[in-house]
Amino acid sequence: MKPLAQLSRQLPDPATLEELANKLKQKYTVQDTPTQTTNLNFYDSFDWRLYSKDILCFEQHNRLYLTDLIGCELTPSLPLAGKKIRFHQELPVSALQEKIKPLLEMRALLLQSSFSQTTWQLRILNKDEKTVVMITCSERYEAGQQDKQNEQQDEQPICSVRLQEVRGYEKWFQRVEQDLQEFGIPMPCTKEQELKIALAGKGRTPKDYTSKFSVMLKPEMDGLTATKAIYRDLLTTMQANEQGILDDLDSEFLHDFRVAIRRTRSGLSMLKKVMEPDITARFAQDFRHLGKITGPVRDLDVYLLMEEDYKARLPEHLQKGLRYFFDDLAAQRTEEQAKLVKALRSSEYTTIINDWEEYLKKENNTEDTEGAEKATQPTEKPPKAAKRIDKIANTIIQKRFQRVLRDGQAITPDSPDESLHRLRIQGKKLRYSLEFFSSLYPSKEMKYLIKQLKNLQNNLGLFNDLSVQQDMLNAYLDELKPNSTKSQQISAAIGGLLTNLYHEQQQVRCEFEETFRCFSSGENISLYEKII
Amino acid sequence: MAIIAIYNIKGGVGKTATSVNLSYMSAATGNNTLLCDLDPQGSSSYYFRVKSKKKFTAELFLEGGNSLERSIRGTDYEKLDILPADFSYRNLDITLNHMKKSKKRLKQIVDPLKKDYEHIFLDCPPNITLLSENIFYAADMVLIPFIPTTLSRLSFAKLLDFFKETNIKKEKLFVVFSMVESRKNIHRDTMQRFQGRKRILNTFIPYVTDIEKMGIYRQPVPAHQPNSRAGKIYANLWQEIEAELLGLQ
Repeated sequence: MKPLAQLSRQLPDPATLEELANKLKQKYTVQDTPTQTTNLNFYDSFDWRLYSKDILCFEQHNRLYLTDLIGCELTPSLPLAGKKIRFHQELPVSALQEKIKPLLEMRALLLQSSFSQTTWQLRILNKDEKTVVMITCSERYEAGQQDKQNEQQDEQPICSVRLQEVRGYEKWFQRVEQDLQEFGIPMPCTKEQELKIALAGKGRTPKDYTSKFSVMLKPEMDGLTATKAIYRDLLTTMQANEQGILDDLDSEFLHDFRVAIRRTRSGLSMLKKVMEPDITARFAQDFRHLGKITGPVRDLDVYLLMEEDYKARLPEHLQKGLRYFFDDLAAQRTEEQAKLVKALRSSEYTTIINDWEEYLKKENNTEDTEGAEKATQPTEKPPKAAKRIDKIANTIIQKRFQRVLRDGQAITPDSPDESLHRLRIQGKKLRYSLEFFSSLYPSKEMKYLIKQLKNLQNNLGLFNDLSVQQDMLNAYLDELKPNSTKSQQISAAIGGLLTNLYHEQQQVRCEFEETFRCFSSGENISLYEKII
Repeated sequence: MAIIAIYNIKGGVGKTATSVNLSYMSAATGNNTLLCDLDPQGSSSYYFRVKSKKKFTAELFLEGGNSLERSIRGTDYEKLDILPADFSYRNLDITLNHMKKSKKRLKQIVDPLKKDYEHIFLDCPPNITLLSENIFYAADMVLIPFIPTTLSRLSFAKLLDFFKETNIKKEKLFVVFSMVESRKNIHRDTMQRFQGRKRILNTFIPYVTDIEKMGIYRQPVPAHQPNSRAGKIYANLWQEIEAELLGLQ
């Protein structure tokens, strides 16, 4: 059946809404409905995982809705009964929960924007007093703003009007559509538009955070300018995640924060000769420190996220011990998180970040080292500061690729595990260099190269994870005080896990050869040679 | 997804009130709902303040498809549409008789609408005719508003015979007591006699003025007076029917 026509117009102020209503009342029989005030709260993960899949999640009238961008429900809505939901596990088993579970994974649902909206309807009636056109007027205030209204008279609500066709009364719709044309400007009638309006009020847009690294560099940029652009982007990522770590919203704030630290550290080592040696040395040390203070919580997060996976590896009678083990980890994490918060609020941390920001902001007058590093003597101009970034990038990527190739080819089934761990580090460096400079190369080829490398990294990463996990479990066993039933249960569970993890690690090691063969294929090598 | 016919051989048993109020409840509980007013008197259409198009006739109705879809009207309520009746429907029987596959015609007309509506209600004219056979064939549930009197019992027995004759599954048949006056012995006795039988719904519709007054307000009772006794009864009745529909599927 033909879909019903509808249109929306955005109006400049409440006075225009009133003017519009008056005009309609002069011309038609209009029935008003009482006003209704509701809050409309949009939720998504910090990195917009739902919106990225064209899904909106919002709360209205104490129910949680999941819709497409137009506003059509994808699953039946859920009553919330005043409960605040953070993780998908906290929702009742339902189609809605099923749908968002694989998208959100470990990420929390956060309030992205919220507004209070007052709506009322103007129903145009025919001579039988039948509604023939439905008009919904709304005034939206950013949540919390309405209370402040008395103080700030100039705060205007966002006003809009929506016209909806009633089936079978198309001509009426067209007539009223004509009448509305002189008021305001047209806007899309979608739920997405409501989200955008709400965010625009705060100077934001959807997807304003992504964990993906992307910096646009130009080939002719000098080394220092390009490098600073890379570091600035990474610093922005760190700063964006800071609050989420302090508030402990979910594990991924810290994860993204640490990835940005690692990337910066990798940059500081790969792009050594672009910046002044003393600056490089100082911040290499500072970022090593940041890596260190953020490590313990992340390590514990990794295990805590493995809970379901570990459970699945053990028969039911061993799972009780596993629960004790995880309770213990959770307690440790609480302690470590407190230490982390303290570290991030320390003046040491603030100094590092402020100095780094200051340095990155500074004009590229490499002779002048005043400001961030007043104490040090002016140093010589670094050799690669003025060199074109595309030349620098070529050299780095080539070197990193050759290194991975050489190290990987040297690995035989008899090589010690250590050699795989070292290859993993080299792979990471290559990966970061590809990502830093990807805007300088054709994007299709670059995507392909990154994908090939990713396959290798996945294998090496899994191998490393499994070995780190075994080390940690062994260390935990050593620390365990024997003689209690609880300890026995934990030991049994960990023993079971160790066996299971060991077998998987052997399996992953067997797969290395094949994975590396793909990575070092002639096709891949010639692609590197072609574009670099 | 179900087609629910509100039917009785007898007139004046509360068919239209039942159709209007139940279709409203169906929509109000979140289902896209269509009410087809098949009664040439057009009482359902009157309650919703809707008239059929001047050009819309029984012939066009039986043609189905686009011309029928174009005659559907939105009511004043969200998710509730109505196909208004036309006076020419009094000849539906005769027109049907001249058509091929005349017993399955209505099903062919209504089935395509299932893609747009979760529930389709048919407010049927009284009498057992070719149209009734069409209705029974098309419907997933035939709901019979039934005033608990002796005469009603006779007509109910006739209807059962008719179902048997025409090989229509009697599992579709459900009875709801309508216009019940609890102070009348005959009503109480008749209801007792039926009690415990299969497909007799527990909720019954009492004879109350709120329902009578629908003609004045021209609104479904649960919309106009959701907290009145009648308003609550229709809400309960719809709940019970929804549960039965699940059982039928």
